[in-house]
Amino acid sequence: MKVKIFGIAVLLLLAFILPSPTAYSAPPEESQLKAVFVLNFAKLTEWPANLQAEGGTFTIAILGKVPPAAFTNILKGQMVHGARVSVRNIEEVAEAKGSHLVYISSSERHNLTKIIRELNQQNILTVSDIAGFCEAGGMIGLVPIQNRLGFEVNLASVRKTRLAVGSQLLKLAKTIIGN
Amino acid sequence: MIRTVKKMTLDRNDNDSGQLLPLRSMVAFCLLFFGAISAQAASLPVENELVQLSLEDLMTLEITSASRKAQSLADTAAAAFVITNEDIRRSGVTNIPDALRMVPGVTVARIDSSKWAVTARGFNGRFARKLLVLIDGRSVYSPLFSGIFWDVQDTLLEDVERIEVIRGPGATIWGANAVNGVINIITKKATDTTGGLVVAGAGNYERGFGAVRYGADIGDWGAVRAYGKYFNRNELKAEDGHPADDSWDMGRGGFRMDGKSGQDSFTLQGDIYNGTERETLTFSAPAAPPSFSAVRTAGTTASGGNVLSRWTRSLADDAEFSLQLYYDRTKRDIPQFLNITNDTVDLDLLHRFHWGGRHDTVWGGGFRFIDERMIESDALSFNPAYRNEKLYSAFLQDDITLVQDTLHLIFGSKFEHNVYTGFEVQPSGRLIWTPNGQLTLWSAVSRAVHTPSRGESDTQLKQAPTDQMVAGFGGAPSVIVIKGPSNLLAEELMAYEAGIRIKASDRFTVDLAGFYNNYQRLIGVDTVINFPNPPTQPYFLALNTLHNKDHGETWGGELAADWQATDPWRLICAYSYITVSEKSGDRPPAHQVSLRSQLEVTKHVELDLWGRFVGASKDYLDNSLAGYLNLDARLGWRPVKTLEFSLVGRNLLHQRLQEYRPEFIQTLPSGTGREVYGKVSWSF
Repeated sequence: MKVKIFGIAVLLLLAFILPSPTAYSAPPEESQLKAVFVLNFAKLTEWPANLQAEGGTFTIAILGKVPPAAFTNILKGQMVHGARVSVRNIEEVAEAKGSHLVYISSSERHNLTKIIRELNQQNILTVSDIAGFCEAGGMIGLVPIQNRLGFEVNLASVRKTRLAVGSQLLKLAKTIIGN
Repeated sequence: MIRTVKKMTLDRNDNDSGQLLPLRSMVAFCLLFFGAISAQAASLPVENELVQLSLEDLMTLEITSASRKAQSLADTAAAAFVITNEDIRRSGVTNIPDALRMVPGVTVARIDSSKWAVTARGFNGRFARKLLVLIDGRSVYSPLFSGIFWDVQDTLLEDVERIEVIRGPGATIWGANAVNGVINIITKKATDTTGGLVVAGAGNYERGFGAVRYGADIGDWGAVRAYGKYFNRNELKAEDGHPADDSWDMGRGGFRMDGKSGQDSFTLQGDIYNGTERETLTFSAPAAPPSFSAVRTAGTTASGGNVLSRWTRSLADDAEFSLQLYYDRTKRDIPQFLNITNDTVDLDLLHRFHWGGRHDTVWGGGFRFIDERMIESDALSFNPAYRNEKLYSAFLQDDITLVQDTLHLIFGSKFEHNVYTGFEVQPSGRLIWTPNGQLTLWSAVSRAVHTPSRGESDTQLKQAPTDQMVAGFGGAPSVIVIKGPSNLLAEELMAYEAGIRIKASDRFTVDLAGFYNNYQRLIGVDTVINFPNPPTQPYFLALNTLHNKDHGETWGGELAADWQATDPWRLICAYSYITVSEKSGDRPPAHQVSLRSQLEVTKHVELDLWGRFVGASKDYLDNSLAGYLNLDARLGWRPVKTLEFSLVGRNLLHQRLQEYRPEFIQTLPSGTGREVYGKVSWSF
């Protein structure tokens, strides 16, 4: 009887001790965090009915320099609006046709105005981490806020297309241009 | 997330094996079960957790581009202040010492056109020795006197990421001479400075300056940048109002390369510089009545270069290992006074890891070798003529989480062996309490030492007599000699500090720190007057021998407040207070205030004002230095994002302001007057 109680006590003790408190989950890599932001932007934006990818694929095109593998790995296979995400790397703006979201890599910052002008004519959500992206007309720009990430939204650019950015997204934006 | 599985061993000395068998197997099963869960948790990638977070949660995560534990200012158990790149840009400063004027607890005093006296919490001087300064991990204090030659500590200011200033002993990780503070100048990574930058400007004091930088990506791996800069600065006015003939110019260039591949990151950087400074020195001349001194103006040359490499590897469980190697050469030639070349080689390793679920431990070691080549002069010589300086160091620090995310206890020590005083230990204990996201309280007790240098322990310096001395000896020739005993001990500090950080809102933070410092074995001087003894000594000799018999106390506090008053208007205030007991070096200003206003007048125009008050103080000869109020102003215009024009006015309230008088070497001090300069900055 004594031994049984002891045994149960040991079991209970194990339950408390084994999953020891770990205060140190590795802080996320910057590229991983950006990818998850992009995923959330996609989830909180609505595409016009005929372009919805339901049941098919949600295409994210990355324009310019290929980002670290960590970025692409986060996005691959995730579900957005009931469709599976597929990631493509493209070199030219023309190749973006048919994509739902284009992520513009920092390598393209010298051609920004031209790229944005061409992409904004289609119903494609443009996202980037280039400084001044929204001011240049881009739709959602990732911005550093001290050592965290935030984002800006250029509502004027979004309104020119048939995309609709959710209020949940707008609420958290650091700056909204063209409100 | 990796969870550690604790193994439990069963006591097999049980009596009743019949009843026990099912119990034992139950326990064994549970162990396996928990173990399996833990193992599975260990293989669960971070990604899966990240993608499940809401957008709101994502915005609270701190990013780190190398798997180092990201430590925000609120987590520091020390009196810390950060000067950001933006602070530097909007203050209009053109050199690092002027940027340091905005830091609470730091005293910056200009000596002449190319020299400054900078210290934290008292003990200022041209050769202030209680502050450790690092640039990107490279220690820049001169082994000649364990202090900083500020004229050669410079870089392209536009590429400075931030300057971290910690007041108080930072000895545990940084080592000897981090007695009253540590200044860490961190430049931007090459990956953050791709593209070109051209800067040019001119004014009445800044006769002309220019800089170019260009950075490029290296494939997927990283980036590299190279820069060059040059400036030419005018002379200032001496205390009698005449021009001081202390103009100077300096050219500098450098590069930085950063790369990252998987878990390894690598940095390689270097600089090279060369400059000339005019200065007026007073030499002892016992054969020259009536003042028995000779005044000469000459051009001092300062040159040098450095190369630094660092390799960091991220290990499992948020651990890290890093290895750093640097070489630094400095050369200074003050005509007829000092000609010295120092070569330093430094190797450091650092290992940080977590264990026991509560411990964040960092330990490391280092070796530094300093070679010196000096040409002696009549005025300055060293005994022994040569010291082969080798410095061995090791440190250990443990950060224990007493209550998760709330209470941390940090203790550690640095162990060093140097060629002057042998073995030194510098322990420190800190406690930091963050009950919520708005409040941080910390306290610390530390021991720190300042180890003597060539200029203190081994020196023999001849100085011209003061006017009072000449009068005192009735017009007979006299000479002052300052002599080190060759066996000086280390100065010791026991520091007791505490602080509180309040984040009242997203727009207002206040940081308060207080300290009590008790110094023992401070270097002081014993004066003996020797009567003339011809033929070798046909003059009165005031022999000042350095010793360690002084002691003193200082106490005080600092306040820093940051208020984003309205969206375009930010106010930053810094206040310092210090009281010293009699024998604590020079008498620092009791109060110092700095108030900066940054205003975005329109989206393209910035108006920045900086007001400073520094209280009265006394120099090393006990002469008074008046307190002063001063004002800098800057107007910035950015017509397009890549082009910036600025007009800066500095020291606007003074025709001529004498901030300090230097000790040890009798250089003619001069003071700043109203300065104006215009600058253009173009990035492409």
